[in-house]
Amino acid sequence: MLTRELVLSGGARGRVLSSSKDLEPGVRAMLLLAEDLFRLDIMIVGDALQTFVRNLTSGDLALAGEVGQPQVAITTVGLAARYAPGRADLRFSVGPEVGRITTEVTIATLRFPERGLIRVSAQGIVRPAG
Amino acid sequence: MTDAVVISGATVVPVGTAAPAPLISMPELIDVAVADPGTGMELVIGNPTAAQLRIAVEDIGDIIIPRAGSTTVPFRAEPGGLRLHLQALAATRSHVLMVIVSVEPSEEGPIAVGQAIGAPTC
Repeated sequence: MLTRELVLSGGARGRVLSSSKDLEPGVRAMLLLAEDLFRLDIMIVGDALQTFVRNLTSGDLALAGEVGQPQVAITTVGLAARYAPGRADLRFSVGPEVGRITTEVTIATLRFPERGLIRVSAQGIVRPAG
Repeated sequence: MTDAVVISGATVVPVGTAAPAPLISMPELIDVAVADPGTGMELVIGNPTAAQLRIAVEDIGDIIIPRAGSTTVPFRAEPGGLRLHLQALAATRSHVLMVIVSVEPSEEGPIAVGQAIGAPTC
Protein backbone atom coordinates (compact mmCIF):
# COMPACT_ATOMS: atom_id res chain seq x y z
CA MET A 1 0.00 0.00 0.00
CA LEU A 2 1.19 3.52 -0.76
CA THR A 3 0.28 6.52 1.40
CA ARG A 4 0.97 10.19 0.86
CA GLU A 5 0.05 13.33 2.71
CA LEU A 6 -1.90 15.95 0.75
CA VAL A 7 -2.40 19.67 1.13
CA LEU A 8 -5.99 20.29 0.10
CA SER A 9 -7.68 23.47 -1.04
CA GLY A 10 -7.83 25.96 1.83
CA GLY A 11 -4.67 24.48 3.32
CA ALA A 12 -6.40 21.54 4.99
CA ARG A 13 -4.41 18.34 5.35
CA GLY A 14 -5.49 15.11 3.77
CA ARG A 15 -4.09 11.80 2.72
CA VAL A 16 -4.21 9.56 -0.33
CA LEU A 17 -4.00 5.78 0.02
CA SER A 18 -3.71 3.24 -2.76
CA SER A 19 -3.34 -0.49 -2.95
CA SER A 20 -3.80 -3.41 -5.31
CA LYS A 21 -4.24 -7.12 -4.65
CA ASP A 22 -4.93 -10.22 -6.70
CA LEU A 23 -7.67 -12.19 -4.98
CA GLU A 24 -9.40 -15.51 -5.43
CA PRO A 25 -13.20 -15.28 -5.59
CA GLY A 26 -14.77 -15.48 -2.14
CA VAL A 27 -11.61 -14.48 -0.29
CA ARG A 28 -11.81 -11.43 1.98
CA ALA A 29 -8.71 -9.25 2.16
CA MET A 30 -7.67 -5.88 3.49
CA LEU A 31 -7.33 -3.29 0.77
CA LEU A 32 -6.79 0.04 2.53
CA LEU A 33 -5.74 0.89 6.08
CA ALA A 34 -5.67 4.38 7.58
CA GLU A 35 -4.13 3.99 11.00
CA ASP A 36 -6.51 4.89 13.84
CA LEU A 37 -9.23 5.76 11.32
CA PHE A 38 -10.51 2.79 9.31
CA ARG A 39 -9.74 -0.45 7.59
CA LEU A 40 -11.37 -1.32 4.26
CA ASP A 41 -11.72 -4.99 3.36
CA ILE A 42 -13.08 -6.39 0.13
CA MET A 43 -14.48 -9.66 -1.14
CA ILE A 44 -15.74 -10.61 -4.59
CA VAL A 45 -18.37 -13.31 -5.02
CA GLY A 46 -19.56 -13.83 -8.56
CA ASP A 47 -20.34 -10.42 -9.99
CA ALA A 48 -20.83 -8.87 -6.55
CA LEU A 49 -18.16 -6.75 -4.92
CA GLN A 50 -18.59 -6.51 -1.15
CA THR A 51 -16.86 -3.91 0.98
CA PHE A 52 -16.37 -3.97 4.74
CA VAL A 53 -15.43 -0.79 6.57
CA ARG A 54 -14.04 -1.27 10.06
CA ASN A 55 -14.27 1.88 12.13
CA LEU A 56 -11.10 2.34 14.21
CA THR A 57 -12.23 5.62 15.81
CA SER A 58 -14.32 6.44 18.87
CA GLY A 59 -16.94 8.15 16.67
CA ASP A 60 -19.67 6.75 14.47
CA LEU A 61 -19.28 5.32 10.99
CA ALA A 62 -21.59 6.83 8.37
CA LEU A 63 -21.77 5.26 4.93
CA ALA A 64 -22.98 7.39 2.02
CA GLY A 65 -25.72 5.47 0.31
CA GLU A 66 -25.42 7.54 -2.83
CA VAL A 67 -21.97 8.37 -4.11
CA GLY A 68 -23.16 9.42 -7.54
CA GLN A 69 -22.49 8.23 -11.01
CA PRO A 70 -19.06 8.83 -12.51
CA GLN A 71 -18.84 11.16 -15.49
CA VAL A 72 -17.14 8.34 -17.37
CA ALA A 73 -17.59 4.89 -15.85
CA ILE A 74 -14.72 3.04 -17.46
CA THR A 75 -12.28 3.88 -20.22
CA THR A 76 -10.74 0.88 -21.93
CA VAL A 77 -7.66 1.06 -24.13
CA GLY A 78 -6.13 -1.59 -26.38
CA LEU A 79 -6.68 -5.18 -25.29
CA ALA A 80 -8.02 -4.34 -21.83
CA ALA A 81 -11.61 -5.39 -22.54
CA ARG A 82 -10.55 -9.05 -22.41
CA TYR A 83 -9.87 -8.56 -18.67
CA ALA A 84 -13.44 -7.35 -17.98
CA PRO A 85 -12.60 -4.11 -16.17
CA GLY A 86 -15.04 -2.85 -13.57
CA ARG A 87 -15.34 -0.12 -10.94
CA ALA A 88 -17.17 0.85 -7.79
CA ASP A 89 -17.20 3.97 -5.63
CA LEU A 90 -17.99 4.51 -1.99
CA ARG A 91 -17.85 7.30 0.55
CA PHE A 92 -17.88 7.10 4.32
CA SER A 93 -17.13 9.21 7.37
CA VAL A 94 -15.61 8.26 10.70
CA GLY A 95 -14.39 9.99 13.81
CA PRO A 96 -15.70 12.18 16.59
CA GLU A 97 -17.66 15.36 15.85
CA VAL A 98 -14.51 17.42 16.11
CA GLY A 99 -11.94 16.06 13.69
CA ARG A 100 -14.35 13.93 11.70
CA ILE A 101 -12.99 12.77 8.36
CA THR A 102 -14.57 11.67 5.09
CA THR A 103 -13.01 9.18 2.71
CA GLU A 104 -13.89 8.73 -0.93
CA VAL A 105 -12.73 5.45 -2.42
CA THR A 106 -12.71 4.31 -6.03
CA ILE A 107 -12.22 0.59 -6.58
CA ALA A 108 -11.24 -0.87 -9.94
CA THR A 109 -11.19 -4.51 -10.95
CA LEU A 110 -9.67 -6.71 -13.63
CA ARG A 111 -10.33 -10.41 -14.11
CA PHE A 112 -7.69 -13.00 -14.98
CA PRO A 113 -9.66 -16.21 -15.58
CA GLU A 114 -6.57 -18.17 -16.63
CA ARG A 115 -5.13 -17.64 -13.17
CA GLY A 116 -8.49 -17.75 -11.39
CA LEU A 117 -7.81 -14.34 -9.85
CA ILE A 118 -9.40 -10.91 -9.74
CA ARG A 119 -7.23 -7.84 -9.36
CA VAL A 120 -8.77 -5.31 -7.01
CA SER A 121 -7.17 -1.87 -6.87
CA ALA A 122 -8.29 1.10 -4.81
CA GLN A 123 -7.49 4.71 -4.24
CA GLY A 124 -8.89 6.54 -1.24
CA ILE A 125 -8.74 10.26 -0.50
CA VAL A 126 -9.05 11.08 3.19
CA ARG A 127 -10.05 14.65 4.05
CA PRO A 128 -11.69 16.59 6.86
CA ALA A 129 -15.47 16.22 6.77
CA GLY A 130 -17.68 19.18 6.04
CA MET B 1 -21.47 12.77 -9.28
CA THR B 2 -17.94 11.56 -8.66
CA ASP B 3 -15.04 13.00 -10.62
CA ALA B 4 -12.83 9.95 -10.17
CA VAL B 5 -11.65 8.37 -13.41
CA VAL B 6 -10.71 4.75 -14.10
CA ILE B 7 -8.70 3.83 -17.18
CA SER B 8 -7.78 0.28 -18.10
CA GLY B 9 -5.22 -0.55 -20.76
CA ALA B 10 -3.50 -3.61 -22.16
CA THR B 11 -0.96 -4.04 -24.91
CA VAL B 12 1.55 -6.56 -26.18
CA VAL B 13 4.99 -5.65 -24.87
CA PRO B 14 7.31 -4.66 -27.73
CA VAL B 15 10.70 -6.35 -27.60
CA GLY B 16 14.08 -5.07 -28.80
CA THR B 17 14.47 -1.76 -30.54
CA ALA B 18 10.75 -1.17 -31.04
CA ALA B 19 9.36 1.99 -29.47
CA PRO B 20 7.60 1.65 -26.13
CA ALA B 21 3.92 0.79 -26.52
CA PRO B 22 1.45 3.26 -24.97
CA LEU B 23 -0.53 1.64 -22.17
CA ILE B 24 -2.39 4.27 -20.16
CA SER B 25 -2.69 8.01 -20.58
CA MET B 26 -4.38 10.38 -18.17
CA PRO B 27 -4.63 13.59 -20.21
CA GLU B 28 -2.33 16.32 -18.86
CA LEU B 29 -1.36 14.11 -15.91
CA ILE B 30 0.69 11.05 -16.85
CA ASP B 31 1.56 8.83 -19.79
CA VAL B 32 2.54 5.22 -19.21
CA ALA B 33 4.15 2.98 -21.83
CA VAL B 34 5.86 -0.42 -21.73
CA ALA B 35 8.94 -1.80 -23.43
CA ASP B 36 11.45 -4.60 -23.30
CA PRO B 37 14.72 -3.38 -24.79
CA GLY B 38 16.22 -6.82 -24.26
CA THR B 39 17.33 -6.25 -20.69
CA GLY B 40 13.94 -6.85 -19.10
CA MET B 41 10.51 -5.32 -19.15
CA GLU B 42 10.19 -1.76 -18.00
CA LEU B 43 7.65 0.98 -17.62
CA VAL B 44 8.25 4.33 -19.29
CA ILE B 45 6.49 7.03 -17.28
CA GLY B 46 6.00 10.35 -19.02
CA ASN B 47 5.17 13.65 -17.39
CA PRO B 48 3.14 15.83 -19.78
CA THR B 49 2.53 18.52 -17.16
CA ALA B 50 4.22 21.90 -16.95
CA ALA B 51 5.76 21.09 -13.57
CA GLN B 52 7.81 18.28 -12.14
CA LEU B 53 5.84 15.18 -11.22
CA ARG B 54 6.59 13.32 -8.02
CA ILE B 55 5.72 9.66 -8.04
CA ALA B 56 6.04 7.02 -5.35
CA VAL B 57 6.78 3.50 -6.57
CA GLU B 58 5.97 0.67 -4.20
CA ASP B 59 9.09 -0.97 -2.77
CA ILE B 60 11.31 1.41 -4.76
CA GLY B 61 10.69 4.89 -3.40
CA ASP B 62 10.08 8.39 -4.67
CA ILE B 63 11.04 9.49 -8.17
CA ILE B 64 10.89 13.00 -9.56
CA ILE B 65 10.12 13.34 -13.28
CA PRO B 66 11.00 16.74 -14.73
CA ARG B 67 8.35 18.63 -16.66
CA ALA B 68 7.78 17.26 -20.15
CA GLY B 69 10.24 14.48 -19.32
CA SER B 70 10.08 10.76 -18.70
CA THR B 71 11.73 8.10 -16.61
CA THR B 72 12.09 4.34 -16.91
CA VAL B 73 11.32 1.94 -14.07
CA PRO B 74 11.97 -1.82 -14.30
CA PHE B 75 9.17 -4.19 -13.32
CA ARG B 76 9.45 -5.96 -9.99
CA ALA B 77 9.40 -9.75 -9.92
CA GLU B 78 6.79 -10.96 -7.42
CA PRO B 79 5.43 -14.46 -6.78
CA GLY B 80 2.49 -13.72 -9.11
CA GLY B 81 4.69 -12.31 -11.88
CA LEU B 82 6.03 -8.93 -12.91
CA ARG B 83 4.22 -5.95 -11.47
CA LEU B 84 4.49 -2.25 -10.55
CA HIS B 85 2.31 -0.05 -8.34
CA LEU B 86 2.85 3.68 -8.32
CA GLN B 87 1.16 6.77 -6.98
CA ALA B 88 1.52 10.23 -8.50
CA LEU B 89 0.61 13.68 -7.30
CA ALA B 90 0.17 16.34 -9.98
CA ALA B 91 0.33 19.55 -7.98
CA THR B 92 -0.45 21.78 -10.94
CA ARG B 93 -3.80 20.11 -11.51
CA SER B 94 -4.58 19.08 -7.94
CA HIS B 95 -4.97 15.45 -8.93
CA VAL B 96 -3.76 12.21 -7.43
CA LEU B 97 -3.65 8.94 -9.22
CA MET B 98 -2.53 5.38 -8.75
CA VAL B 99 -1.39 3.02 -11.48
CA ILE B 100 -0.99 -0.75 -11.27
CA VAL B 101 0.61 -2.66 -14.14
CA SER B 102 1.43 -6.35 -14.45
CA VAL B 103 2.70 -8.56 -17.23
CA GLU B 104 0.48 -11.46 -18.23
CA PRO B 105 1.37 -14.39 -20.51
CA SER B 106 -0.63 -14.83 -23.70
CA GLU B 107 -0.43 -16.59 -27.05
CA GLU B 108 0.61 -13.25 -28.57
CA GLY B 109 3.49 -12.91 -26.13
CA PRO B 110 3.71 -11.00 -22.86
CA ILE B 111 0.88 -8.50 -22.40
CA ALA B 112 1.15 -5.53 -20.06
CA VAL B 113 -2.16 -4.98 -18.29
CA GLY B 114 -2.67 -1.74 -16.43
CA GLN B 115 -5.30 0.17 -14.55
CA ALA B 116 -5.24 3.74 -13.31
CA ILE B 117 -7.50 5.56 -10.87
CA GLY B 118 -7.35 9.34 -10.83
CA ALA B 119 -9.25 11.87 -8.76
CA PRO B 120 -9.13 15.59 -7.99
CA THR B 121 -8.05 16.66 -4.52
CA CYS B 122 -9.98 19.93 -4.44
